[in-house]
Amino acid sequence: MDYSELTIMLQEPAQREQAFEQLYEEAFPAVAGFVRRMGGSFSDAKDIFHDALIIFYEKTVHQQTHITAAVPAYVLGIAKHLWVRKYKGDQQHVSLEGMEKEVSIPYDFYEPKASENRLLQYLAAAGKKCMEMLRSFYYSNLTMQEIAETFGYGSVRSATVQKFKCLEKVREKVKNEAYEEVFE
Amino acid sequence: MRKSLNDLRLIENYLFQRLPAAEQQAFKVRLLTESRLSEQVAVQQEVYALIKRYGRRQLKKELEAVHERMFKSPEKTWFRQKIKNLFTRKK
Repeated sequence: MDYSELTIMLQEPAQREQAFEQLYEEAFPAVAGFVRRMGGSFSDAKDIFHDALIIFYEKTVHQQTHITAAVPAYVLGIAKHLWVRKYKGDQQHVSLEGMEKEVSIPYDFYEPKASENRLLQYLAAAGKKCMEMLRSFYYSNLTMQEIAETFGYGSVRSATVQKFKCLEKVREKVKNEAYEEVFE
Repeated sequence: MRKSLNDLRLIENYLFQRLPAAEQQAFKVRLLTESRLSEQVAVQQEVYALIKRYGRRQLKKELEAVHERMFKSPEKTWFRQKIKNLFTRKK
């Protein structure tokens, strides 16, 4: 699997699913085998694999991490770290080799508090188009040009104004939610 | 853009370190004295964290759909079999 080609596919919304499919074929068997050896189930393997792919996605799309290892080996490295985090006592049984030791899990990766989850659901329901637009820019790293085209704005300028309006909308909701929590 | 949007943009450029060095420094100094501004910065950081969480959640949904296909679609029988073997084989 060619890493730079895969990175391009992950960055392109229309090709992302195909990239994930390829990752499934090439990296899931090793991750599932590892989870199985550690005594985990098929559904543990699926959960760990999905989290590992999200981290892999962020590393390639956001940080443009230069990865020299083969992609399946790298994803397996992330999965091993996730496993260790999930079952803290197990550390001594997981052997991390070479580059696997260098792999890191984002500090903010683990599930947020219940109240934040509630807020997130609220945001998703309240303004799907806004959230999708914000996601495209801040999470998927699309350019404003691409965003203007995808969301049907005549110019980069008007798309940019809309993006900041969306950001403002979310900010007001965050502010209000914080306010309500204090007086609940 | 109206002022409130420009303020958002300024804070964003500061947080993403996109301001010219002198402006970046000047903004930092303002933060020390203007408590309302530093509050706004904190809220905006929370907004970006929220968008990230939203992004992860949507990505997870896409992965669920891919999983579904990998374990249901007829063209992927070979793959399914390979994984099944892993979990049925004796350890």
